[in-house]
Amino acid sequence: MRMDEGKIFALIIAMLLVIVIILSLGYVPKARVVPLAVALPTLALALYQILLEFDVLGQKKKDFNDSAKAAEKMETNLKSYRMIFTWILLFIVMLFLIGFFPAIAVFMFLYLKLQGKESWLVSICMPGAALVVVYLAFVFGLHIDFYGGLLGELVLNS
Amino acid sequence: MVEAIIQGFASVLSFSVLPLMLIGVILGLLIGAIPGLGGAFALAVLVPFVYNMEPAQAFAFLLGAHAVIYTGGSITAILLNTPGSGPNAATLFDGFPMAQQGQAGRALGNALAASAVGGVFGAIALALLIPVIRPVVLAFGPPEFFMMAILGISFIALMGEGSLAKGLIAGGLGIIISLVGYDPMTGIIRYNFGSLYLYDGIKLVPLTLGLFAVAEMIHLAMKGGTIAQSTINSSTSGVLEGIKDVFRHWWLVMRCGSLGTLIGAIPGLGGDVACFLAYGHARQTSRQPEKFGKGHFEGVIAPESANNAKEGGGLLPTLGFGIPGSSSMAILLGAFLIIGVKPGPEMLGTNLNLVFVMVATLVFANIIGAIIGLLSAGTLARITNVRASLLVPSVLVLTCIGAFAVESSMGDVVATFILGIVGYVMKIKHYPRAVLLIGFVLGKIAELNLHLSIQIFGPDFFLRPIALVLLIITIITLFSNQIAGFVRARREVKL
Repeated sequence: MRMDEGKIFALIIAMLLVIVIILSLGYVPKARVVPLAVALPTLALALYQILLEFDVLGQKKKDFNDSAKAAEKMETNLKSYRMIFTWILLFIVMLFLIGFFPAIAVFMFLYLKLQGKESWLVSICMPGAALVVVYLAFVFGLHIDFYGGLLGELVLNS
Repeated sequence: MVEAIIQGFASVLSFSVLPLMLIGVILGLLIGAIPGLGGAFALAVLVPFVYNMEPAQAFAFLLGAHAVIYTGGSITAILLNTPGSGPNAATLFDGFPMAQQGQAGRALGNALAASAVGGVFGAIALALLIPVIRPVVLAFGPPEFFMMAILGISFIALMGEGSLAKGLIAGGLGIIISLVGYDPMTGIIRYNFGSLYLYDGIKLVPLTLGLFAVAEMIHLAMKGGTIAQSTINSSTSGVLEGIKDVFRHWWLVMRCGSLGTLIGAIPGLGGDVACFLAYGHARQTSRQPEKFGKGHFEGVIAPESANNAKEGGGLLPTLGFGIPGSSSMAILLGAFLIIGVKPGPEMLGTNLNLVFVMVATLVFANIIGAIIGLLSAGTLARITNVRASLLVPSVLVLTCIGAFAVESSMGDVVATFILGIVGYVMKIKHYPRAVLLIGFVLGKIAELNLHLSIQIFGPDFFLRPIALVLLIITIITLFSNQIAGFVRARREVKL
């Protein structure tokens, strides 16, 4: 049996609800009454959803090509997931390491050039324009103090 | 009284006040359009500028900006599925699908015109109700708050499209997410899994930005192309059609405006509730409820008219008793003190013209804000035709800045992206994200007020008159489909 996003998501929801219920039992009555009143029926629905996702109730129409098609689709999806989640992870790591302004410039440039296959002109000008707008609007206009990044802090402290 | 009204309106239109109001309106529109930054942020940033201003100038400037925050937020909600702030969240449900169908111009026309009319409605309500609002505000306590939250949650049953089970799961998850963190009734920290960030719970801004903006960008990055899936109608006729919709459905605007004013006037309920209740009400009373969530203009008109009307409502307790109804109003109260104006009952006697300066500011700011928005709507609608490779990095950066700027928290940035992944899976597997958001906004309010109600009034708290009326409306809401079916069957039998 192949897993897909729907099955994984339904299982994660059910698992989280079980954890919520177990944790709730350790709280005083006033703190657990509403969470339990919501979590228990939601868990029942999540379990029902799992049965539907895994087709235990036999509601989905069977097709010999179904599993092959699903496998192919999942393979394509996995590639796309890897791509977009790598970009997001890269952006977050850069934000923590080098701070907002360098991270925005580097992320936008790399995304436009490598993922978007944009021209050099667009890949350089857009991050440049974004930095100017962000600086003028948020730092100069709204006085927001952006996070400088761990490396920036290390350099300043050394 | 008439003299005070004329004085108030004349002050706002004078050369020393009008330019400041215009600057305020433009700043308000810009701040409102930035994801995550709401009215409280705008006022906090702008208050330092009013130290040397005259009271009329200061209020025209501050209220001018604050009045149009949600007008600005509706633009990004419709075009990019990214709400400017919490109260714009309900605009996403139908505004963005309209943009995807190439009707961005019409949706913008709907939102901007409804915002203007709703805002003017709120201003008029402020002028009319300020002498008589006290008994209304005092009639609302924890039981009524609880019943209003339950009424809002009951809309979950109406909103789930496709699988009812998925809708109810999403609603339940929303309520449970709202319970994460410090519980004010018991002092217990719930479900934080040892994380310091979760002590304060999950906040609305990262949740909304993640579930909608980030999820939409992940989807767009994976499928490529543009947001608009068909040729966009960004022409003036599309925008005009949107404006006409608002005037054709003036009764819906009035009802949602009243709802927004009432919720704004009740301290403690929170403005986010207004847009969801208005949306649910519009769906419940619409002749085409099945079109909601798929790009129906009534789903844009209702929350937008309620959003802007609640500003007038919010000023009622602030001016009338000096009690701020929201964080924005608390900051505004601070501005009152800076300028040397003491709000409260005596203000209605000694500074009545200043009250009408505020009323006039709300009227003019809403109209001017809508005109500025409408003039640029055709051009703005073209954003939906920008290719994914340019839009995705730009919106992700903007979202990230919006998530950080509210509380200068890197935790909010990480939470936004994690919730973005959750939102994406929900989107592709057809779990309604709107329902999760409603559960989140109303869950905490319901729990807190349930405990307070039992503690103060005992287990039969719901028998208080207003609470009982709300309970009956909730029951009617839950069984509206069955009631409609029964009535239809009776009619057919008679025929």
